[in-house]
Amino acid sequence: MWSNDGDTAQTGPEMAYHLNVAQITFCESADSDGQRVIVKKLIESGHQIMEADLPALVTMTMPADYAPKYPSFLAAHKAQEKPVAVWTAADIGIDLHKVGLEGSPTRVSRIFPPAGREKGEMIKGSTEEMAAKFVEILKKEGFIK
Amino acid sequence: MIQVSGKCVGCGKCVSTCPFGALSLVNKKAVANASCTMCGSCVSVCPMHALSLPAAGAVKKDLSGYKGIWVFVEISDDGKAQKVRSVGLELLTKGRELADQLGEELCAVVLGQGIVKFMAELSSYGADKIYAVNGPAYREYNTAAYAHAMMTLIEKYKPSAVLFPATYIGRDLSPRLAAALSSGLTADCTNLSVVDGLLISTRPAFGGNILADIKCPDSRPQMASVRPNVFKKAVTRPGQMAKIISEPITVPAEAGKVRIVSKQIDEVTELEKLDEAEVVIAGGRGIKDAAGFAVLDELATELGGAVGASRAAIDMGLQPKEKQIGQSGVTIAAKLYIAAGISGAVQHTVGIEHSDVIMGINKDANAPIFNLCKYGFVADANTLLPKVLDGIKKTKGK
Repeated sequence: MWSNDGDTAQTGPEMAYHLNVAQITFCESADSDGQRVIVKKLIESGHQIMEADLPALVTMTMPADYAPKYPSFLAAHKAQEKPVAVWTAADIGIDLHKVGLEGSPTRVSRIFPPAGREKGEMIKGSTEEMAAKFVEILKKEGFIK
Repeated sequence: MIQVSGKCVGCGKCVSTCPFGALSLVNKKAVANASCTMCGSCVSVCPMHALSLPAAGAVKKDLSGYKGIWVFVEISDDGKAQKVRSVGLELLTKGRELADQLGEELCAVVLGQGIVKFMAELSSYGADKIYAVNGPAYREYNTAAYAHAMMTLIEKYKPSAVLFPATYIGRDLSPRLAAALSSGLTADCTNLSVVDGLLISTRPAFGGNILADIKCPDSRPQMASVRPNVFKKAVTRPGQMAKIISEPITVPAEAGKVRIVSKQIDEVTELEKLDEAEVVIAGGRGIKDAAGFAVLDELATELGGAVGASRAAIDMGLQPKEKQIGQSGVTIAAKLYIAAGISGAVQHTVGIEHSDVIMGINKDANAPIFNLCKYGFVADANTLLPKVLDGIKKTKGK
């Protein structure tokens, strides 16, 4: 899974603000009883179980044990016949001055390749020779005491 | 997209400069197409001054009243003790440098309960002022309560820039504020600087092997978030005390809409803390299976380090997500970093570049990881590392 906002995770909270609803971010699971949403949310060095009154916006993160569910051949075939709604900016009445590059408060001022470090030493030889050299370097740099 | 005036003579300099291939010559005139991102690279190379960025917004806001660099300082609470998260001190250290360049003040903003005890520490890391919002309602992070308090402070005191830690809390709070303030936020920056009085935020861009400098010219405050370990912290003002401004801010009713039911802190041994480890050994796509990672585990034990992984290895299910090193994982600042079977895409390397000694093992002699390595080994890590492990054991045995 790859987010479509440059991996910045900004879209969820910004959308929650514009919708004027509560938000809970970085959730691994979510469930609802129709009145509330109950989530497992990641926090620094652990997690929280949280609940929010509806409506609320929840952003999800990939759980550690996530496994994608592949559709059956039949389901994949049927999916091709489902209608796909395509909306343009005009269809949903967006002010074009507020979206896209024109609407963005940020601007890219320069693009450049990352600076490389000083070219290091490349170690060659047989696996045995390289392994010996590897250990020697660890000793020299003080990582084997 | 970029605007081309009648001064264009069709020299083509802009065409070869454009990083996006958005410019071409049509009838000996430069023409931009929809790929244009308005990065402005072409504007400065045009010898005829024929290219320009469209003026943003008809009416420019008066930004002169916005002064000072703010750092949102996060308090961590593991259930036993509260402390200032190190990333806040790292941001204060960097913020001090930026504020000095601007000739403006550096302010820490701290929300919580019983936070008075942190004032001396925050002062020593360079804060001129500390805005403190103290109260039981701020003990646990709550989006609505924190956002309301930050909005109140920002609207009252008008900072030029606000820096956030790119933590679970900072990444929840900062985009909500950016939307509320209609201002720009650059997330997960790998560097910050000041050019012509503007905050320049650097981050990897466009999913490629490229970095972008991003500015927020026409709205305030300029906002950026930065991960732990990107900057080094340093006490710059030992013994000095910042001016403390206490702001009692009432929590809005909507804060009650989200409630914590229970909180679980995972027991993590020191060795497993990647962001604090002095030695980190990480595996990538080249470490094909669990047996490969078992060798890394053993090596980490021998060297007193922690094991991490590249996104490729995480996606292959070889390591849990919290072991991911790089742009969408942990940023490390180790004394020794060993990259085994990792090619070294920029999304990974931004997470390791603050390490001192980097050793890389990859079968491909042209793998970009070798550009960062002090020592590079063109080999299959799966065959090399077991021999290294034997060597270390023998050396220690002597």
